[in-house]
Amino acid sequence: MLTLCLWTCAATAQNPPMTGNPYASRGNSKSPDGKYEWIVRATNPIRYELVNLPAGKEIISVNAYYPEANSSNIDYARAYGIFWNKEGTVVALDELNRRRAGHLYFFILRNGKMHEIKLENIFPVPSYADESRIVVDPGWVSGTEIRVRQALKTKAGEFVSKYFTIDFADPDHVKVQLAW
Amino acid sequence: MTATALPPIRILTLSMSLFLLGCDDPESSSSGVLSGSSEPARSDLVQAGRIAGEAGIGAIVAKTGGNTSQPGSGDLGVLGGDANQNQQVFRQRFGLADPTQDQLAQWEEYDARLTAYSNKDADWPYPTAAAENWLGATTANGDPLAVEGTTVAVDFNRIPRGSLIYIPALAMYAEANDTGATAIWASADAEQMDYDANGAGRIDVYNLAGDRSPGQVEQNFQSQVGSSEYGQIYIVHRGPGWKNGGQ
Repeated sequence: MLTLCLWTCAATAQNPPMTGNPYASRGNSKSPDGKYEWIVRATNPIRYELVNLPAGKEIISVNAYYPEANSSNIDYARAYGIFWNKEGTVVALDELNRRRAGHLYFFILRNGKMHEIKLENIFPVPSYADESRIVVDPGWVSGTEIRVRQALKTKAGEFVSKYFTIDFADPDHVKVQLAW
Repeated sequence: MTATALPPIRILTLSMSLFLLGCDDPESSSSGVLSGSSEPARSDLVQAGRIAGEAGIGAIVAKTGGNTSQPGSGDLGVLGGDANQNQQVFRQRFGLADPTQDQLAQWEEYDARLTAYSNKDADWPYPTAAAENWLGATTANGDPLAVEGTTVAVDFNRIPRGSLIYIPALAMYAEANDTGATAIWASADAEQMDYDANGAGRIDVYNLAGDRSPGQVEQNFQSQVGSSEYGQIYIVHRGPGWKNGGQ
């Protein structure tokens, strides 16, 4: 079962996708219990909203990386990836990685409210890198751990990838570990 | 929250699982391109093959063999085999000529950081332009092709989409129709001249890599524009309205 899960994640969660339509959304916008859903609002600014479906209430929203509402930016925003852990307590919002554009957000659900975990301080940009982007790759590898990739473009113009797992077992002390 | 090493057994278990499942991407020893990585689109492969058979190799070899063109010479061969031809067609179509000093004085001059990107970007193995280019070409995934010799990616917050710019270091007119990782650029370059009050940010110039690795593309480009990647650009026209004068 774990093998199947990992294979499925790997096949669907590459960012950018290696096959198929690169602008297709990834993951599942709805929480496992069906109570919450991420929705792309194509108004100006373009933004992602997490909605409590039974209450019809917005829980949290973030602007898209390219917020100006035009067709190409809307296509870009809709190519997002949403990855809930199986308990529905942690969710990753992974914008399309188009030449390292886009953001990866993590939110922890507590008492009906979402709290964002900032990644900037967790993954400093190496001095040899000119551009850096963290993406989900391939997804949740356990109930609390998700594997991510740090995509780097070096100052010499080469590309390097580093892999990490982020463990949310203790949401107050998120652990990041080097992985393969 | 800092990065720490996984216990060896966990690393082994995870890595073996991913290896056996084919989850991990292969490495490329020749170019240094790692995962995420960069199988070029079919159209790019065709185009790259044609370049290798035409002017691309000659242009690149000449520049790395001591016969490097001087900045501003107008030889855009380093950007790909058809770059010079594309620039000429672009100029003819829109009535563009080498600017006079009077014209330069009338255009808006900005500090810029001149960088290179190519069709071999590990994080976007697709044709790569965000807005319709001057050729109007559209590919299967909805993005028009970048055109070597006329396409640059810019920060649209600083230079409006579709603007016409002129790059003196390359003697090149270009259409700002592609977008890069603009927020990352702005963050990384925040304290630098290209992001101050008179800065245009990064001007990321598209290269059709052909047989070159991404690193070679970067080296060739920096050799062409000079030892420093900082320079000036002119905004000839803000926004896409300049095309109205074309055909």
